[in-house]
Amino acid sequence: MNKDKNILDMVNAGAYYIANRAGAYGGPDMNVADIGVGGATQTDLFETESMYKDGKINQQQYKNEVASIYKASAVAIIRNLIDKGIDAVANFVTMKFPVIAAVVAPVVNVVKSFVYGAVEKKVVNTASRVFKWIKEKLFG
Amino acid sequence: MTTEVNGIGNFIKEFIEDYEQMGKDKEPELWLKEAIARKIPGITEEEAEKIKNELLKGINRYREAREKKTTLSSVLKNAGQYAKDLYKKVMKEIEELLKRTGIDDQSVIDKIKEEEENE
Repeated sequence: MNKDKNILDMVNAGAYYIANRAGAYGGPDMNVADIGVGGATQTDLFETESMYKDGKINQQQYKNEVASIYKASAVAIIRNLIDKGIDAVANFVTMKFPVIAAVVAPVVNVVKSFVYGAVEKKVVNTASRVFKWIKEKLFG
Repeated sequence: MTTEVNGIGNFIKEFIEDYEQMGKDKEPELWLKEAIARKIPGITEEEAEKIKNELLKGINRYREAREKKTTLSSVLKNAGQYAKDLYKKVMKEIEELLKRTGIDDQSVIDKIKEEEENE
């Protein structure tokens, strides 16, 4: 894997873990491996939105990428779940699907405004600004 | 919503500062373990190691799913009798999440389903 992306994932995942532990973020049933998935998911969501905003991908590509990111996130979380055993899977079937919604919650509405053609530039650009800022801070 | 982004942004900022000060010359996984230990008072080295490993497990699983474009169906084969219910539930949740994101084109949802069917 790309070393820079690896570090971005670790920064995001570590930050989410600390935030969750501090009670500042997260949702029900957030186990540590799921938070790892969340961190990497955020890296890709931020990056994808940034690419769209910069005109490197078109709107259809952007939408397909977001869908693909959500699915990869679901696949990884299910693998975590299966890892925890059959009881965890059984309980999950009867529960709401909390984790993906929790890990992507901070950017969902920002992305939504962006796709719809945003009204307030400050809000619209938040996710891509966060990503650029992280990259600049980490890698110059 | 901006507040939520800023909220996690503060934690990310803290972690970046930690990486800049303590991590640049280290092997990244070692830095992550030590950073977790620094940020959580009273944690043992063993606990920090365990948390680091779990976070990396999640990251690696996500990256593998993205790179190999793993299908839900293939992963759910290991979920036994619950596979069918879980598949339906997860696909529905992905659809709802996409709609909440403002992505409600049927073509996007169809593309995901098509990948699954071609698996």
